[in-house]
Amino acid sequence: MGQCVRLTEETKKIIGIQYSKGEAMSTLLFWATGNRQQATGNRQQATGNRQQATGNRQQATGNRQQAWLQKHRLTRWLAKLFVALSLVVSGEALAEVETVPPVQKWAVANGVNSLWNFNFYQLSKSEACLFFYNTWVVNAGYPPHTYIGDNGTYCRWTNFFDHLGIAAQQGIYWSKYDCPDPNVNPDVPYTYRPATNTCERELKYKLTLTPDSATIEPGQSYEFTATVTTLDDKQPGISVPVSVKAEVEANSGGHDHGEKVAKRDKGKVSPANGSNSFQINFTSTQVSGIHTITATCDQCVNKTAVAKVNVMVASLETIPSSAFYAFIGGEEDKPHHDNHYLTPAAAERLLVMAINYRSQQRFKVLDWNTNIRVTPSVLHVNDASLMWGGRFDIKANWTNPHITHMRGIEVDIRANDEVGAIDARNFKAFEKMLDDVVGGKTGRAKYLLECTADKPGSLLKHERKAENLCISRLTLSPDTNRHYHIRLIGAK
Amino acid sequence: MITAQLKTATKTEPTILSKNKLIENWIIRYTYTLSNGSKAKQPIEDVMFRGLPPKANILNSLVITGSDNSNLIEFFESSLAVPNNQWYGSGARHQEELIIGWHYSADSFDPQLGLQPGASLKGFGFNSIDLPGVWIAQIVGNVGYHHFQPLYENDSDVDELMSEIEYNDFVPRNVAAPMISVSAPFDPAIVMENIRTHVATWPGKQLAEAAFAAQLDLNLQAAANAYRTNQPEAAKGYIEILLDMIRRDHKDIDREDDEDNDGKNDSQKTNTQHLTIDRLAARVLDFDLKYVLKRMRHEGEENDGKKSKDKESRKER
Repeated sequence: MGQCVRLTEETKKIIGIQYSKGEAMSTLLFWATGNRQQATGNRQQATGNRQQATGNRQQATGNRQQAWLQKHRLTRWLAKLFVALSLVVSGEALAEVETVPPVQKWAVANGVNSLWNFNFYQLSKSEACLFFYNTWVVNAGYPPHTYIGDNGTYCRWTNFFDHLGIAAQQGIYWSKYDCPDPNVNPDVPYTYRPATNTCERELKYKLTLTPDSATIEPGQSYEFTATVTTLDDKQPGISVPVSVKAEVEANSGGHDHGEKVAKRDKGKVSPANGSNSFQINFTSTQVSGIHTITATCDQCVNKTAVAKVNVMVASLETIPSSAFYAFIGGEEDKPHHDNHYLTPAAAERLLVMAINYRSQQRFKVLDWNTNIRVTPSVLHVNDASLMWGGRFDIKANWTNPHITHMRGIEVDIRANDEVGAIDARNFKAFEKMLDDVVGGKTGRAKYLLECTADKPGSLLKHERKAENLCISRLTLSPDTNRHYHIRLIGAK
Repeated sequence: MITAQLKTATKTEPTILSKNKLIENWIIRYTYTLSNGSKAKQPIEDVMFRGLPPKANILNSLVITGSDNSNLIEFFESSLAVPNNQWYGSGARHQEELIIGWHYSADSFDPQLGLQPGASLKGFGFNSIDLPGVWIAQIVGNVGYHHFQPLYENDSDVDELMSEIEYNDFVPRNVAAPMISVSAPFDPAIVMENIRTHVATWPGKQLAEAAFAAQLDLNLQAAANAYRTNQPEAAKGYIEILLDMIRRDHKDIDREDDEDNDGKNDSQKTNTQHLTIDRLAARVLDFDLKYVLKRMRHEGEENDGKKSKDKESRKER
């Protein structure tokens, strides 16, 4: 019977066994086979006895070495632990280690030393045995023989002769422990740890951010969840840090001026740092646009996870063209080129208002030259809302003064002295018409004759040098910015 | 602290006299006489009817259709009669919201313009096939530019409060307005039910005492049921009872206020006697019930006429 020995590094060095990195020779079975071999073996044995005597002396030395190794195994283990901890202290990140049991694989050889370097292993004894048979026995041109199989401890076939011409009935087994191929994240293999007879690898994580998109209104908040898990969706056993930040596309939401005048607020995320799994609150600004929330995890295989947030007022559409009104504003030298968006309901009220203005006899004004009452020009429609609504920063600086125009229900109508403006003689009738047509169930419409913004220190919202008509007392000319600001859909 | 100032439009002393007259083809003419009391501090510049039934009928309107040929908006400028060229009618029906009104025509915000204190003007009106009920007219005085100064940001709490004040900045007066739809073809049971539905709102508006309104309701319901079961004579009997009930408090209810030569209109006909029903409400109900009787009589005469023609034509054969 052979004997099983566990070969330590030192022992292997003593007996000169080579092995590839990562392998461990844990069990070695030596079998002498065949009667003739045995006879030979007897003669060898005599020689061997002499050798054995020598070997015994060597073994005695080896035994003393082994005894020493056994005695100091705890010391050696502590040394390894110290190394591991040193790595931690030196700044390398704490890592979780995934441990799995190794797989015992088998190979067969005929005992020639060079065959110890087989690099192939079958998974079971039978597979190893059969592989050896096909590779060596059949192909090596040995005399005809039949593979019988294995009896659980060694291969068997008939009429097999070794290189000395001695019939053999068994192959030689050896096994090794190897690490299985990972099911999850197969790119990172396990490493065999002989000291513990386990397979290990550093756990990898993945980061998710849910949901991956959202749509909210300006000024609102939304909750996301950042989650770190192992690659097989288990919770980490350690704290894995995650950082969060928000970005914004500078030209998004209809703000084609970008950051030429001022930096754009990216919105706010809270908290900016967390670990494993935590809620992230994103609060948008009053400015519509496309925001990106990015969560970063350095220990994760995917490093970052991203969610997109559309900050917008829903259901705004381009105001349809009509013969009853004309569009102004949005010139090339202005920051916002696309400024004519309303909700469909508001657009319909605008049309109704415009039709009324052109249809009512009341709005015909006297032409001083011809002394004939003429139909006024169509309403000239200036700023409504941007394509996604939100704050309309007419100075491209992300702030007011164009305070309203956020929700696609308000519009400015020209009322200065330029072409297409509402004649001042029609102001009163125009306002009455707004009450009748636009007011709806709430009664009077919300509208305002607006002028240039306040001068500092003034209590008035708009500069009105003459009674509510925005006329300069100095020059008697109307404010060039004078217009009707109309809320087409009732308040709230 | 910022203070805001609103010049309220409620310094008028308005009265508005309603008249209803049945003209050809079962059309009802609604006319109004507007007066401003001599002690008023403001001229009147607007008379508005807001919140009429969305489908209330007003004849001779201008309908604009949308691109899909559905009705986009209905304008009433051409429907509304005005006393003179200093006033104009305006109004629209859009998405089942109906507002009509009359406005003093002004090219400026001069607060002196409008129906002056002590003045009276008749000739406001329109035609409708709907029966009159009682509604509230909003009488607005002229204050020039009537919004709050200074102004606040939309949707702020202050803005909401100020808007509420502005929206209610008028003097209310009861008027006869087209509140009760008349079915086509004419169905007296349906019309009686519509009258009944409208009258049921009167106690809440202090137009009739609850007990009296309950009695009205019983008889209105009985009349409707009688018509429904083809018992017109029985229905007529219930209507006569209703007319008697009305006349208990208002003997001369079937005469127009300016025909009785007592110099008083509805709101001025106060007396020390306790009234179970408001005079305008009584007059409106009186008109409506008589309309039904008249129409049923006409329908009956028409049917009789048809029968005798058929009989004659058969005889000829």
